[in-house]
Amino acid sequence: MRMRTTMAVAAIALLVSAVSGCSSHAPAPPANDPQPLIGLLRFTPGGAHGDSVSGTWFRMVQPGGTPEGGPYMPNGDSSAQGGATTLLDPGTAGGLRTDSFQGEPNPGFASGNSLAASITKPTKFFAVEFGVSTNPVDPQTGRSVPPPTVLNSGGTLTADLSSWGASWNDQEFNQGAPKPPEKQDAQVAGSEQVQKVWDWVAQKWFDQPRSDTPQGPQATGTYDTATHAFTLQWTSLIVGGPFNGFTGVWHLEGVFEPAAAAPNSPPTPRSSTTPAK
Amino acid sequence: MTERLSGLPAYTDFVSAVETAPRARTRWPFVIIAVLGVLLIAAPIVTGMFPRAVKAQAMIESFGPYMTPSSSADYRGDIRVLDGAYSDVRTLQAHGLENGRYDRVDQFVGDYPGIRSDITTMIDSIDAERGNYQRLAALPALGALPWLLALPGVILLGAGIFGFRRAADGRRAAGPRILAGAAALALIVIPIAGGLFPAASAAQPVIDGFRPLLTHEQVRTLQGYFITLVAADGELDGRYVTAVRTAHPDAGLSGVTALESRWQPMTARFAALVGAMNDNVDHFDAVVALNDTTKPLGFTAFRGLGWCYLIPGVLALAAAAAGIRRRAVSPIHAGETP
Repeated sequence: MRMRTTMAVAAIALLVSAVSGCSSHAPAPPANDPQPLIGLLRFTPGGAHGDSVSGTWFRMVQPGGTPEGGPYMPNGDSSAQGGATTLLDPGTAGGLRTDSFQGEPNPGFASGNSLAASITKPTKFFAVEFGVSTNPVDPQTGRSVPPPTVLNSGGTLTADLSSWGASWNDQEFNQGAPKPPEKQDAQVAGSEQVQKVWDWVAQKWFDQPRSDTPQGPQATGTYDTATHAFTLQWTSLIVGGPFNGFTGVWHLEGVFEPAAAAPNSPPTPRSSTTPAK
Repeated sequence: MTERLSGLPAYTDFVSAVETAPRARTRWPFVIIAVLGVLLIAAPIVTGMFPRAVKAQAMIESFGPYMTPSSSADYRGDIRVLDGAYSDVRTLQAHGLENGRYDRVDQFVGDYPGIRSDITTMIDSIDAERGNYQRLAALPALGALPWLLALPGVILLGAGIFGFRRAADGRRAAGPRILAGAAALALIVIPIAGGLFPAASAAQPVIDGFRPLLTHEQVRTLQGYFITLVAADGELDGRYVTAVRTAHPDAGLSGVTALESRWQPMTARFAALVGAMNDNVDHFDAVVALNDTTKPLGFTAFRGLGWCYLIPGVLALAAAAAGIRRRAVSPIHAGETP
């Protein structure tokens, strides 16, 4: 009897300690669990060194080409790699903010030149400046998209940059990854409302994604937790509009600054960057 | 029956009039009305008119900015500016005044006659079809047209069914007749007030005129022209002009200079037109498919569009009126003894 009582007390004590342990000391996530990078991805300006490029840059692949081999649109305003690569400088914010939008101003253009100057400095492309913005409603497709999110998983980055859009010469191009669906086509009266109802039902009862959820591969890259140096790259097919079928190749490089950093602090030299964590 | 049998009183000794079942009224007009209703509902569904008409409307709206005389004038002005730059380069080449190798400029010189011819043909087509386009654009919203068939169809079907049942019961069917008459009048008024008859002849020329332009192949060709032009402009604006001016300060470069000054609005216009063409290829295909749905009947859909409203409208109106006329002629009414 005493033995049973002792065992019961021990079991209860074990249970209580286990429960209290759960409630007060949540186990730390494993090191490889994806961690969001919330803050500013401060860009390193693009640079050309002979036939190679570094920093932040962009290429535009002609239809039928490949991101690796081209053919690329020859930008007469760029000397990098014979105009195949357009080098980018950070914009007024220093780069890309995650978990928030850096929207296109209104008006978005002046004589065809993009006025979106927050993420990258407007850069000449065929003699007309193009800019980059992230918007809750994508200007080309009219689709709702999430703000940029970047996850670090043991030094490997995956990013939802579906809101990444380029603007040039009074034209808007979604250049995100993953891609939002193309612009909603003309529809029979009432079908949009039916689609919304179905989306709601499918999401609530069948655990299906909304029909306008961005699809396709995400942007990927690397992250050094010690130096906060990052790279991100992706390709994005242009769907619709004058450059339908062309593909944008984007490469971002720089240093991540967690959200605690002042929003408009001056660029920090890479050598003196102090890791926030 | 009025003979007395076995001294029993006759039924009529107690009942002044013999009760008879109400006599059914004329029902065939309601059959016609109901059948017309079914046809009007089915026709836009079977022909895919609902989505196709919406796409036709989207296409007409998209091309609005490019179908104006001022828009064509801008494009022709752009061609003249390109002509000037082409002429400058050709002259410099002819006199051996180029210093260095300019592959992208050379490609422009080689391709430009074809580019010019193609774009000029495109602008000519736009100018030629402007009047027809405007007649189509003046129509009521095309996306509403299938509804303007189907909704009267629903009313006619309902009126036909209810009218038939009331007539079969020997009751008056004034309500269904009025409803059917109203729907029939709407069907008659729609093509006349909406201008469907004057516009009927406009659709086919527009389709024929735009058929070579609104294809994915043509869009790809124009994109290729764009690549040629922007590449050449980059080279002209960069080292070409500098090299020529350095070596030959008096060389004629007014055409190239004009191209540089007009470059941004020119490329914006060109990009916008290519974008509109690209985004409307599928719409155009839908319009062609819609137009062809009635070909087995011996006419194209746009050509017969007005009649698709008018003929059912007249028939339905006649059917609704036929019942009234027959009732007025016949002295016999249900529930009455002869």
